Amino acid sequence: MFKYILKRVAASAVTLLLVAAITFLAMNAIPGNPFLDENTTVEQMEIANAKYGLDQPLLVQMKNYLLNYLHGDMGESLKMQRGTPVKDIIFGQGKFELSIQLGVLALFLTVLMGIPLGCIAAYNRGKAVDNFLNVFSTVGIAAPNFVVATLLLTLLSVKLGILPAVSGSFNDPKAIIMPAIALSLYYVCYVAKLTRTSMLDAINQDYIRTARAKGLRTGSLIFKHALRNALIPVVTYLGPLTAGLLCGGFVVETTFGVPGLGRYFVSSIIDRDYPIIMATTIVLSTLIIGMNLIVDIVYKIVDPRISLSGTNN
Amino acid sequence: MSGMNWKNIRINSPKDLEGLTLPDELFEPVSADEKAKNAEDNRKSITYWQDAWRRFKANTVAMVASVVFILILIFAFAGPFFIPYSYESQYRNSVKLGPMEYSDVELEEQEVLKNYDAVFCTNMMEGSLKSLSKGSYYIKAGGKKYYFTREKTLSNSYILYDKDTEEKLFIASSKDVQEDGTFSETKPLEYTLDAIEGAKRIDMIKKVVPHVLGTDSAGRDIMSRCMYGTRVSLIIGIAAALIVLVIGALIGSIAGLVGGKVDFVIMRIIDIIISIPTTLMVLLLQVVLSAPLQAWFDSSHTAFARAMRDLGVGIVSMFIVFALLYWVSMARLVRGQVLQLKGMEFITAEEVLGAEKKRIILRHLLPNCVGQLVIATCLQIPSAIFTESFLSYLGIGVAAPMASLGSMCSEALATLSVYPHRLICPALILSVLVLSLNLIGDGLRDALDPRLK
Repeated sequence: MFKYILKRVAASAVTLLLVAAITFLAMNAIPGNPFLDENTTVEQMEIANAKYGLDQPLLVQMKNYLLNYLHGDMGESLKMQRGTPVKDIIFGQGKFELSIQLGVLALFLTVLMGIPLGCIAAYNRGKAVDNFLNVFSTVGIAAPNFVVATLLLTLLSVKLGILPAVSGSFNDPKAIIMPAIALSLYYVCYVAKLTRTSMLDAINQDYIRTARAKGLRTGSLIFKHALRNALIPVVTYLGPLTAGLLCGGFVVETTFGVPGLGRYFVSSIIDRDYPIIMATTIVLSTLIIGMNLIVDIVYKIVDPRISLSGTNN
Repeated sequence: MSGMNWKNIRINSPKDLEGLTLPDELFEPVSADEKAKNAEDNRKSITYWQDAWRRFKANTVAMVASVVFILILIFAFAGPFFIPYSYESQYRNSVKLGPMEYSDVELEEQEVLKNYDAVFCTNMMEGSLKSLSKGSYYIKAGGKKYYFTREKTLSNSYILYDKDTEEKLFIASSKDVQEDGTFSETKPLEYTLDAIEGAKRIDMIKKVVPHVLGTDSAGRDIMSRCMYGTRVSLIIGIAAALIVLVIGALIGSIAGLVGGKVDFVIMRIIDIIISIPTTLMVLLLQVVLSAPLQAWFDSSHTAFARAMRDLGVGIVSMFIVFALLYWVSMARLVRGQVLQLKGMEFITAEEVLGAEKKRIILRHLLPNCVGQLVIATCLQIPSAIFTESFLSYLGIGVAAPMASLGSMCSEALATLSVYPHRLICPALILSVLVLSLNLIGDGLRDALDPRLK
């Protein structure tokens, strides 16, 4: 077990390093110079290049860049908030917290809605409830999150005026409702489908028949006996789910005007503020890769049948 | 022969049967069960694809989804032939129209077409009536009313057409027009344009086609943009799925067939790419690739580069990203299939019989994988469309004046409260398109997956 964890941690570290390297090389592949401006003279540009270490060979730059990251130095913003350390922008201005709040809430919604809905559908297999949930989740999976977001916006705030259209911060609990629903709807539907399938597998197992014959109540039958085994595929989906929620945040935050990290990332891409793009990519990748790592380890604990070799055969 | 004990007759050779006639009571009718069994035994054997098609046809949901998908295809590819507006032209007089609304100019046109016996064409320019202004006049001559507009180009000569007979009536030049808009003199026809072409032109201005879904803030027709956007999204989705299919199948089959170290290396690369957050990388590479791509488009003049330039930087970099990152799950699928099949008896038998590798691959491995490949490719299309619309929505994918369903949704966001239909139309098409493709994919899985048999 320990060996497995070690192996997974090492693999995750390699992946993260690779992401950092791709990001760095990609940024350097862009022709032109961030300081290139109509009014900059050659001398000024050289000074700026020297200041930010852009005159050194690529490998040295990459080494410095990785070392700086390890020390928590993410460089300075070049355009959007010129001169401000990127670390302050990401962590110091409440952006990160906002995005994490939204993501965690959506995660809870997904798990607390998706799994019970899947159970209900599986238990009532072939009945009206199951059919309704099936149609609902099929449609929910086909609707992109920005469509859901904008439809909610039109309906609930423009037409009915129940909820605020722009969510500056989540101090008002009403403001987080729509972004969280828009972000999680797809995943609720997906998890519900996933749970239904694996639940059906579980319900047809012999031990469930035994439990039923023993006279257990339906509730304990479903949630205590069947769900435990049915949850394994759902647990594996938590990794991609985290990635999806974090990246879905770009769209949802942009649509609802939430000043979070996702929205800032999108505007930094459009503004080409490279240090911010790089830092955000790496921070989010770390979160996603870390979540994948945790899921892999938890998965192993939940289901001891999985081979300990760590390969995917 | 009656009274004979039939049970004692022994038939040892066909010769013994000669001269024998059996009474009817010895025969009994075939039972229904036996009939059914007989029918089953004699049923024509059908191929894998015939069987799959039969299953698919029986699947109502998948069939409905297919019909919807075909309707969307018709809408996207045949639709533009039925409306006279292009997706990129900005119709200056009809900015921000609601669905089925007419601009002032178009209302005037309609009024003209209804009330006057003849209309006028400036200099035979296309869409001349579109430039109607408020300084419009009409003349009466020979018991008919003729409509024309007095504009700054009035120094030229004009042709008037009879609305009913589509005949050219006369040419007027600026000096013949008086201040009140009447002609001082009308000359007989002496224009060189031939009559058929003139009739065509008059036909063109005869009807005013409404903007069915209105126009956007730049005066572009939303209906034709929807059609065009659907086409762009579809083409991107299908092309991306094909790219993924080719690369994934190639690498996956190499890993599966060669095995050993090659397989190990490929699988480790796949492991790493799978754990890279693809959406982030897509966004990053979109930004990074745009400048070098633009430079390549500007410098290269090959047909390929020109075709790529027509697609635009956003779409091409999207294809590159798909080719770099999205092939992994397809490669895994193909590798798994190849490994599974490789261990099967019929492949071993073929090897023992001395078949070449090529024959084994083409005759046995490939046909057995095709079903899985079709399913995976079909389900890849909606996910590629999703990614494309996501990027375009964020303003990174397809750029104006090009349109895709995602970029139209994002354009509509600014005017959401006033013109919700601008969002609802592309969003609805996008959702229905993805839904139908998902359902077709599910139907294909049920039809093609041999494990369910």
